Amino acid sequence: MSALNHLLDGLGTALSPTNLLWMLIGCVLGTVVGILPGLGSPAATLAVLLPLTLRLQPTTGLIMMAGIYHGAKFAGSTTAILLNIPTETSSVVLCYDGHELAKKGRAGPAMGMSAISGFIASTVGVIALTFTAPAIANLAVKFGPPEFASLMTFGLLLVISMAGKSPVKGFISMALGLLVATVGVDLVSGAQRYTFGSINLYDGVQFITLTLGLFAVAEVLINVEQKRAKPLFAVPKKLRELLPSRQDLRRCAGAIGLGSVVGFIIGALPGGGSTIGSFVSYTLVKNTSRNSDEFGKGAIEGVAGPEAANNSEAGGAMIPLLSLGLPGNASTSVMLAALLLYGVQPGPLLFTNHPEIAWPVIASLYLGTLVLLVLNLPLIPMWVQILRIPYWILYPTILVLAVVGAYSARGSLFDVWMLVGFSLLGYIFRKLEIPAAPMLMAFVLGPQFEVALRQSLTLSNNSPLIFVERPISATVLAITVAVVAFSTVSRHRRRRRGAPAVPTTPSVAAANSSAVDEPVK
Amino acid sequence: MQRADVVAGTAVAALGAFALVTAVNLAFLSDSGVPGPGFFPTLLSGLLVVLGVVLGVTSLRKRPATETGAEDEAEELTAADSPSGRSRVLRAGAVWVCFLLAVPILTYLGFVPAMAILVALLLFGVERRLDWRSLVVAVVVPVGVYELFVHLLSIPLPTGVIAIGPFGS
Repeated sequence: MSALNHLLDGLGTALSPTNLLWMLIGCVLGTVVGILPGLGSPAATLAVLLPLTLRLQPTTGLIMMAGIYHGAKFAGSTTAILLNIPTETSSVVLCYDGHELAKKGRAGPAMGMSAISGFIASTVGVIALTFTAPAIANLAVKFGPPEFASLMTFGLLLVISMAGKSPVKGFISMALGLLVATVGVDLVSGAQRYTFGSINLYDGVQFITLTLGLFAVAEVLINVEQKRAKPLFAVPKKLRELLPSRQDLRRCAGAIGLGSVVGFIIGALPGGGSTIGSFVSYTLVKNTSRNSDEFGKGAIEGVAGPEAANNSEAGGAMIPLLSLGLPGNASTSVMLAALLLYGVQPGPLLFTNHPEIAWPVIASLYLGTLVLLVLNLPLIPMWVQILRIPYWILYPTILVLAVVGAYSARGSLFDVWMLVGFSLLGYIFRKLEIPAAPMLMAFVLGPQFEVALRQSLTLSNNSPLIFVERPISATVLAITVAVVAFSTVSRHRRRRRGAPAVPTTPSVAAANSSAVDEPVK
Repeated sequence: MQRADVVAGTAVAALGAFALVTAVNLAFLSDSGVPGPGFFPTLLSGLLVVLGVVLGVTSLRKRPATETGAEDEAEELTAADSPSGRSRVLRAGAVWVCFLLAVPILTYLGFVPAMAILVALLLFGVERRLDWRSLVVAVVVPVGVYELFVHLLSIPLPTGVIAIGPFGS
């Protein structure tokens, strides 16, 4: 029970007026800065605002960072839902159903659901963190390169099975993403790969450039195909329609529960876990849902599940960070940097040497979601107003902001050229119905996946059997096979139900192409 | 969209082949016998070739099956080849070309002038909104974004070779 006492103590510290005030400020700043492209990812927002927090006491500073982190995360789901701009990989999934909901005039409920499921999930995450941290830290230590490689295979195959209609196209997208991820100087050998002699490619391709091109600008190009007299999005006037209804909540209860558990478990694994959590959760929620046909066309569970995973993961991600000193994603890396700047060394000794820092930080991560709920839920109607801007003003603005985002990542005009190239690729993908999400996901996991693969084979003298000989790795692979088989079977069954005679009937083809090509007016 | 898939499959296979040729020059196994820098790229580009061929061949095979359904063909026509389909692609293409043209302008004139030109091209050229509101948007959006990033957040934006006026620094 001592963990619980520590947590309560931590809550007490975090709830002091000064700390609470800074958390509120952090949350607002995080939301405002996080909504800007290029700064959108929580990691970038944290990095931009880091100097501000360093002027405060360590505990207060870290609590403010927790506020910024949650604000930025919420901003990320806001831009994904409203403008189809995912700011980090974990919000890519939100574009599937969140943006479709926005097109149907249900942006408000989608955003509200994102905040609510985030709050519930982080409650689960924090409770689980309090009681299971030592046990999970133990399991996490057993994760070596083969286990990571298997885990990432799991994540990548899930995205493909989720992306749906044509597995071949999903595979192409994934392979392309992995290949783009190899561009640059190989970290192991120092060899140049696909740089074509250009110094601009030594560092590889920037995540933000790829995302903005593939998602934001490609979406603009699809939308401008038709000249629009009417606004692209319907925005309801009544406040009640801007928040999730009781029915929405009931529909999403299962999705939130599932997402919370999945997110926490995957988030607790150091490295790669955070990105995979939201995708795994989406796939599971979709496959276990009675309304699985609605997914991709605006199912609110498709927002609740991944967002729950995304937030309980934050609790999970603190385990490797605080107990092992291993950051699980870009945001926790910035947190790690901040801890080090304060002179605090995360690791097994943190909880014994600096309980006055470790527990308030965990408590404030939890309070952060509460603040988010209290502060941002009432502001949703304001954010939704963005959609009232006529599209002829909105889309040039998105293009201008995309240029800013691509350029500011590292101050390179070369990246702006890349942005233009990727936006054309994204448009072609949309026209050919090739899903872009596997490419982005593969791009993010690519470098870690490659290193894990190479290290594993080095360990085993190039024998691929290592992946099935180690128990944890074999278990992960077995789950992968089971999930892929399950989703293949359910896809077949669905297709048979929808199309009794011919595999691709006009009705299915029409439904598919209208879902991809024509935004609902 | 069967024909488009055949083309896409061919393009993917060609891209994979190109990547494979480049990857072969990198060491598949390093000197110490462990997987080297060429290991992953070789596998991936090989995979792309296979996937491209699979996509192309399966789409070729599907064709006779769908041609029996007249409805299906009509569906295909409206999707890509009809006049309205072509004009839609042209409109998107026009926006993309404006976006492309903005980059060299950005390099020479800097952020605010280049983005003002981009927005003006889009609103006057593509959207044909020839009124004062377009002019206001073309000025307010670039200047507003510039002020926000450069002055409030101290994040530098491209200044261009020829720096102009108050936005040159």
